[in-house]
Amino acid sequence: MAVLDDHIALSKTLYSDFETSHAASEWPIVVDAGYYAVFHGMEAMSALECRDSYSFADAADILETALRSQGLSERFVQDYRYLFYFRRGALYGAHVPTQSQMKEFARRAKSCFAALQVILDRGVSA
Amino acid sequence: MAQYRQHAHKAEMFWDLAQKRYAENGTPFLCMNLVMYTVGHLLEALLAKEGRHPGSPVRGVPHADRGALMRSYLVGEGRLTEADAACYFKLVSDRDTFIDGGIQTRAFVEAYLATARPLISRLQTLVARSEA
Repeated sequence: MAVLDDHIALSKTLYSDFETSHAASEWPIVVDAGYYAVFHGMEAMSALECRDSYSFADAADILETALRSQGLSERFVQDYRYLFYFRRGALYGAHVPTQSQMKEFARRAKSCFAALQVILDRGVSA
Repeated sequence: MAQYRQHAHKAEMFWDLAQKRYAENGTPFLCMNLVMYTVGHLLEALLAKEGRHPGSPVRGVPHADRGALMRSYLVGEGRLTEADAACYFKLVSDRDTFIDGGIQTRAFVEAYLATARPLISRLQTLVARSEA
């Protein structure tokens, strides 16, 4: 269960970075920390059933084939895709997000993180 | 696709943030990422000058193709060395995004930055020279 604990701890640390950077308007940190807080929350869910992603494609596949049936909604799946491609475009590509784009990114990251906490709290205590 | 100017600008922005976060004892995972993004954008700035842009595997990120293009064009033309290429691939492989080896510590990010710094410096010089 050490792996589960690591994913949960990193997810929470990154979510805290996401919140503080959002207040400081450091958009690259907001995007990176917000995305990875959700990603490691998903990895924690996977760890509950001895799964790991070896790639981002794995993570997307596991989300669609396993995590969706374990309580994550279709809205979550759509929001995760949005976060993934937003991060790739903003951090690797040419885009510099506007304030309103960042607001939408933050809204979806918060929503995904909250959905994961409900499931992880249930799973860890079970 | 981002062009030379956008990559050069982002490399500068990520390097400033990486150094700031490192000095503030920030989350090592984020410091590591900022260092890697700096290297990636510096390389892609140089590649963009050659009209080259890395692709990505489906639902993935462009690290491997960036490395292949670096070898073909920047090492191939003698602007970077095999040692530079090896350093890039070490930074990619040491960057444990999936935390298989556990959460990154301060010692990890110190070593990561020490590995990256000479390559960043060399790439910055090449980018500055390409602007002249």
